[in-house]
Amino acid sequence: MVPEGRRLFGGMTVEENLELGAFTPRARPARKANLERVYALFPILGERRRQIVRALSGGQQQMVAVGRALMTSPKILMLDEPSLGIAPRLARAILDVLVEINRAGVTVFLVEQNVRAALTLAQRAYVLESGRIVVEGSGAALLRDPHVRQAYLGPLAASA
Amino acid sequence: MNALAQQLILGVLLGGLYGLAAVGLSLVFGVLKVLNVAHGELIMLGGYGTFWLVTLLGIDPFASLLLVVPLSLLLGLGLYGALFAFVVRADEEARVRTSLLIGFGLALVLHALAVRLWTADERSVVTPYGGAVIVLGNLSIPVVRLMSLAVAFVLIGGLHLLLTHWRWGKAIRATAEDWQAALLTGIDVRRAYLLAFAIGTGLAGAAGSLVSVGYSVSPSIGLEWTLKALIVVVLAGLGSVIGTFVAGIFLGVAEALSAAVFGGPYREVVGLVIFVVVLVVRPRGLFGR
Repeated sequence: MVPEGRRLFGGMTVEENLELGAFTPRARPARKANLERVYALFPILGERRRQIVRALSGGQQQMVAVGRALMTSPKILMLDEPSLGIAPRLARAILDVLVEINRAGVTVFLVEQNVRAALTLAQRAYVLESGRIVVEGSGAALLRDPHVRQAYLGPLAASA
Repeated sequence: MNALAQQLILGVLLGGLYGLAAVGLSLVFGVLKVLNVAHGELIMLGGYGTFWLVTLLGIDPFASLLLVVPLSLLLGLGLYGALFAFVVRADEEARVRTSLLIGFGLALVLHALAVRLWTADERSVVTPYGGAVIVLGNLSIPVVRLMSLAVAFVLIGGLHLLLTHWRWGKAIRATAEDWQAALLTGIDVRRAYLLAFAIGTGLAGAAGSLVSVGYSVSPSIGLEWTLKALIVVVLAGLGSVIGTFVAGIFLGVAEALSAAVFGGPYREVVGLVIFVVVLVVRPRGLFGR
């Protein structure tokens, strides 16, 4: 679970934040292995493990948030707006890692307003309007859907 | 010049106890968002604990810490369960108000209880080495107070290690920063509260022990110590153990200076001036987040 706004412990180090992710008794035994896995996915976090989280960039903080969620060995990873307020290049990098996590067998459940990026990744996608599902289908199909293109991808995309 | 230097030394020695008193209060306030105005009364109880252990059983006052601190921890567990567990169920804004009521009530009860049990007399622990001083040129340093400062150092260092290395220590810090996020990561926030409160009470007990050795205890010292601790917490800000301790020593020195420069009665004024100035100029304190 990666909440919106990340909700990290800003005054603590990267490694402490990650370790706290594996605080529950069930998650503790796999702590070391999961820590290695997170550092493999985000090598920059390994380099900065002793740094205070508040001193990191928004994108790096988001990596810590994703990493902390992975520390419980989840079957499903839920993310609320992970690209919010992050440099586009870093947002892209995080989404790429989500694909990698997914290939390793973790279901990824993503709520995202960056529609194009989200649809490119998604195997299944749902468009919600005022709380109701208005369109659903594969990510690729939704990318071609005229309604979706008109409403979310801009007029240029709709006419192309 | 010499008199001033002598006052400064005494100020540092007393300030160490201010720091120790304040760290307990700061921990409880920072983690539970509860202001325990009975903190000084807990210090008073610790002082009596040592006084009676020394008087009745002939234990060395510094060795009495080995009993007083665990007993204070237990008292903290009990007080949390009986009183403060209900306070932390309220949302954070209501907590401070409710805790003030409960704290004042607890302070009054403990004060009255101490008067009834032990009379209102001022008591001080007497040890064979109580009058010993280390002489440096024209300056003299009371050995007992110097040892108290050393004990305070060790306790503060121990707390720092506990909060940075112990699993639950990290959980306590995480809870202090954002209890909802702590809950999300699976931390039992209630238990973090309980532990923080118990540790805070244990530190109060330790501070009380040291007060009874180098200075004196009576049932009415509680308010004064709560006040000093509060001034130090405001000065230091929340979130730094070492910073709070340093701020305590700072207050001790500032008091000694103002007493030396403006005369004895002004000793108490400087703390309140610091209190107001810090709140106006830098509300988050010198070392606060």
